[in-house]
Amino acid sequence: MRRKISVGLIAASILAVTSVGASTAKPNGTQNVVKVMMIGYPDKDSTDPVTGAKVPGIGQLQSAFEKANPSINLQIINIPWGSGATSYSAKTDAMMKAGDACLYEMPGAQDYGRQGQLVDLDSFIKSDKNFKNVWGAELNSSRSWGPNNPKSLFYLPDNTGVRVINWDAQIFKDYGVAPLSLHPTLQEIQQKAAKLTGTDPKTGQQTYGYWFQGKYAVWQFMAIGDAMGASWGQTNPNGTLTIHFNTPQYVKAMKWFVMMSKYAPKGALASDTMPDGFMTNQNVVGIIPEGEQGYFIAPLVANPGLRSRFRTSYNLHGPNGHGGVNTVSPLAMAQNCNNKPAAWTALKWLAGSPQAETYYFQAAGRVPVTITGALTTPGLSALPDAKVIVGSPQHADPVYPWAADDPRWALQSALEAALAGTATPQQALAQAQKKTNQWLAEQKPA
Amino acid sequence: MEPTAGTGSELDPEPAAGAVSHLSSGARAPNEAAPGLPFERARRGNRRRWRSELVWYGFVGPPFALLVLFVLYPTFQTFRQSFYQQVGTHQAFAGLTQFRQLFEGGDFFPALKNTVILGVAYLAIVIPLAVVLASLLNRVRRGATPLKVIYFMPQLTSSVAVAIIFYYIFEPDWGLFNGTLHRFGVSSTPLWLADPRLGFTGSRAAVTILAVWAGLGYFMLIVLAGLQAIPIDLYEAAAMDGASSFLVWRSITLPSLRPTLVFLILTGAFDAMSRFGDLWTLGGPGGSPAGSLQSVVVLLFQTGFVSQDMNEAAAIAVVLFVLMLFVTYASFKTILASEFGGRRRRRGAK
Repeated sequence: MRRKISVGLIAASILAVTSVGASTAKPNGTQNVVKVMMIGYPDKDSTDPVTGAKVPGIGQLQSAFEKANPSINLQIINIPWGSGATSYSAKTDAMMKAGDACLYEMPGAQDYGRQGQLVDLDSFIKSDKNFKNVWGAELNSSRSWGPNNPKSLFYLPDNTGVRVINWDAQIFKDYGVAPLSLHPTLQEIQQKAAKLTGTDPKTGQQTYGYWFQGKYAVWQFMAIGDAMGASWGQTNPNGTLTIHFNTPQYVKAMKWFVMMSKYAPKGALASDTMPDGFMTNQNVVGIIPEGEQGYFIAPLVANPGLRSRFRTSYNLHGPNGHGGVNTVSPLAMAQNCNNKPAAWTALKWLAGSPQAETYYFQAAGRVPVTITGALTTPGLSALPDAKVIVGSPQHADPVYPWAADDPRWALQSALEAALAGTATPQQALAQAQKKTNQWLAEQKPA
Repeated sequence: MEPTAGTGSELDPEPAAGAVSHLSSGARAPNEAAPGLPFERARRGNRRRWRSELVWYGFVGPPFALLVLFVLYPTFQTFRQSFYQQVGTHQAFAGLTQFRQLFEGGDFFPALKNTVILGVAYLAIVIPLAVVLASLLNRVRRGATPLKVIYFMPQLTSSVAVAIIFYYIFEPDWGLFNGTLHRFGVSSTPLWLADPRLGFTGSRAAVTILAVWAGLGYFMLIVLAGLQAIPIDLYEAAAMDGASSFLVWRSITLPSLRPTLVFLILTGAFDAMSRFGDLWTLGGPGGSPAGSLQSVVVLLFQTGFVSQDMNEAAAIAVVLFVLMLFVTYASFKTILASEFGGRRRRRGAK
């Protein structure tokens, strides 16, 4: 008898708990709810321990949205970047399958778009009379292959990183070398890096003319290749890729890179960051390519005294004016979103409003991706090279569809072997192409 | 006739009640023997034993359920996934395609080679060093316990934290090691983590030093336990016979340590084959520089969680499983067979 009572109590408790959970969950579509998954923003307001700047929590973005769009109930699911089985990509995958959100901040948007899991936003743009392209050329760079259209627009860019060339004006001055131009060429960089490598005539310190982040050298290599007229390949009409790394232009680019590595500190190959002393008065590297926003913008904003020393030029680019890796953050709409009109309104606001852009810059140092982005971020607009910083994303290459796949690692390994001197550039690229061909052979048309 | 109290097992709650109800009803099933007959007594005994064992199955059940849920089921799924491939949004049966691509691709065998090299280098250094240090520690009278704690502490530290610290030690430009050499006027310093070449100052050497530092304490304590298990009368007999220290060490200590060393080699080999944390922290995806730090498990992680190809990652896991099974079987048939065979002979001789 007692056993029957306790079993009954347990069953009743389970029923009570599940019914309570079910009644508070609000499915998408009721009460004009739009759920958006975002990645890596602070959960709460805090203070940056290095610069002392206030860092707003994700709640501030939500409040700003609700003020501007009171008819939409925006629910933000903020997940960390994570790693391995708990990385953002695993969570994105799980949430997409479960239909947990309408909008996703989605670095892998191109892959999901290929599989038909994302909405082609051209359909909304065509029917939206109030739509304004505030992203400029970046919108075109955001197009990728889709099942119905090889130039589908699966996302709007909500913010971006940058890739620029930072340079130390003090070291240039010490050696009597003319400042780096706004759009430096390979020849200019080579000549000036050679002059800046040696013993600083003013300080007596060993200085270096060039830098590369060894573990991410592949992106610098792609920019160098762009400047030499190289092209990695294309997305075919059936959605598969054609990739050519083993071309004369890329061999030339790799030879140039290997030659330039002698002007860099010996430990550059082991590095995954900026040189030691960067953004301080102890810096010893003259030209620092592949400058990322996270390394230099916040220190420059917080320390006006550094602004005259650390300057910024555009990244290398090809004849078409484009070059270097694109680090835009895509915001996409899932096909299984059942509140698409409201989600479209939320998407435009989150990707293009001045309030959102100000939030992304203050919370995560992400650069605005709209044409007028500098105006919305006063800290950024005060920098002497603000035009370069905000304009750089417009000049980036379209997103490389192989950026997280085997071809990237094959090329990275090959580059490291060439930079370490264990393979010639030709051998290294041949090896990278061989591994890439094996990966390409496994592709299935979408 | 009613059974007296206490005739049933202590764990059997109601042996008497069942017997009473049976007697009181007066009815028997057609194949039921009359009460009191040997068959009936045996059946009652079996039922009691079964009921008493049920309790222990109740204790073992939950952990076994967790084992099934978190070990056996994922293992089964891994094996299953290795025979499939992703086509669009669904999985399609692919037979041995993943394995063929794995063996024909250019990454698996270099990763396996790295795993073997790093494992052999690690064991070749850590085991002799552990034997020497344990022998010295065995002679320490005062302060032995604090020393044991100090030597063992690296084993308790997270491998990721250790790898980050060793990055600061082996960084070629401003790291602690090369910085110290510069202070002493050495201009040509090793490249360590920037050098993919096989040598004493490359990336593999750096991670081997890291592994020896982290694992030495554990190996030392195991060897120390083995040393302290050697019967003291063997040493006394050798002393009476006038044997030198070296002879004592070679003829008594080392042979007596054989089971311990076999254990350490085998477990060390398995650890080496599954090495991941420090290599991933220092080398990242691709095992930078130039794949020199990419072990099989690093390749597995990169394939599964960076390139998002779970099927190929599953194939790597299956191949690793088979390799470790082979190593286990080979060890059992060779080293362990001779070890256990020797013990049986020694016991038989006694």
